[in-house]
Amino acid sequence: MRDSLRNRPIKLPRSSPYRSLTLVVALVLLALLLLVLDQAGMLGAVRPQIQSLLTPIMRLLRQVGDSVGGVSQGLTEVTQLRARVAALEAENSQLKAGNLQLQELQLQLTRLEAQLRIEKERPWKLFGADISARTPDGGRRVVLLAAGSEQGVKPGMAVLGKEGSSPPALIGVVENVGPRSSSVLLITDFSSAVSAQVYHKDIIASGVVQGQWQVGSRLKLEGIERAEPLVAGDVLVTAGLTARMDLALPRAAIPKDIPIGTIETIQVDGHSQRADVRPYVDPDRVSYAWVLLSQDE
Amino acid sequence: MGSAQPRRIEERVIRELWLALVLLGLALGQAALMPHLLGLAPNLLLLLTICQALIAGPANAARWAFYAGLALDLSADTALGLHALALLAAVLVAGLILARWSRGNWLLPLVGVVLGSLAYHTLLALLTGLLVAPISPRVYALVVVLPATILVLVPALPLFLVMRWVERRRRGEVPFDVY
Repeated sequence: MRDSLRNRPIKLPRSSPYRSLTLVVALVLLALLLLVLDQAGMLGAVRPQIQSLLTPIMRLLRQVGDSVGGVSQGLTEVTQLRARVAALEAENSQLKAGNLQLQELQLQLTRLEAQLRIEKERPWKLFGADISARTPDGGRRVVLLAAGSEQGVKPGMAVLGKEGSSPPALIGVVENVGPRSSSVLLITDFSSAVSAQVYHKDIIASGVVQGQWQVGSRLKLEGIERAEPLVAGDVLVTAGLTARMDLALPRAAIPKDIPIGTIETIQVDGHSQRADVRPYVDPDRVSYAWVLLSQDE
Repeated sequence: MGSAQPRRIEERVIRELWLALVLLGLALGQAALMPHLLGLAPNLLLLLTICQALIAGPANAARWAFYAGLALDLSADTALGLHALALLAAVLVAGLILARWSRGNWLLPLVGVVLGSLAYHTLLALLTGLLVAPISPRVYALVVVLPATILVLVPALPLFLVMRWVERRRRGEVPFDVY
């Protein structure tokens, strides 16, 4: 190709890939020659000498590389450890959930065992349920039980609780019943009145246990004849006369001999006696209770 | 004046020596320092020579390939000329096939690296098969060629852009890209 004006050859641009193809071919041939010579062992001591020069540099670089690699490995290990921590956290969470489930089952088992023990010792047929709610205000001492008419719960049934080593004791009476829940009036409520009797040696004294929570106490036994012997520590149980006594709970069906508490202090008031009663079970601390469905005669 | 005058032979020799030394240093660094991923280290020199072929043409890059190949042979203790031939093949394949592509095209380095890497590994496998021991092409392709190509493909675009920027600054060109 020629320049028509100046009549001289045009130079190809430097970036043309074909411009120095001869150089490429020469380099390829040179590389091939080196390969053949090396394979034939004709490079002699040249190559070992070059490599002996390069070896210390390589060793130095390798040391640097190892330390860098160590850091890199450390970083990789950190990443792996993070992944492992995440996996362990997930496993831990699962185990915690499983543990909670086991605790719940254990609790259920304990409650059922307690129920069985009570039913074995007493002629009662019980139904256990969680206390699902308490009244938010202090006006009334009422709790909601997670059992209702579908479970055989009826108004007036006695509700029992157990705390520590205490005997199963009365904590309230079923007031209203829904299909799956019921409200229980606690015996500590001011409006609660339950017929009771005190065993003192061979003598039995009868009275009424009245709730006192709203007036700053817990239970009070009233209506005991002055002549009846009453001593602190005497055991108070239900009398089973609630319905007959025409109290505020006309449908009350509380059987007799359910423990309520013990006598703490006694006050003589005219011809009668009054006593402060310490309940076996604090109704406010109970989270699980049994409804006494029936009693074997 | 200076640039218009033909370079003296001493200048050229020194320049070539510097290039060879730099590439030798890179080869040593690659052999000693480069982290291994999937059991392979990214072949920095292969990437450099391919990018150089795409930017400056295969003739210019052939020198890089030759020096880099010899440096790799020395640092890897392989037959002298083995890597040089493989790198020359990469340079030629990538440079000639993509000679008409614009240097502003962002796909150029990616396609070039794939082509160059395939040529490099194919020739290397052939020569290794001839000189050392036969290689199963399928296994070699899956175990070596594919991961090694992916490894050099990742930094191909950034390196190409840097090298192109340097080259344009050297030549005083105005950059433009084709999307």
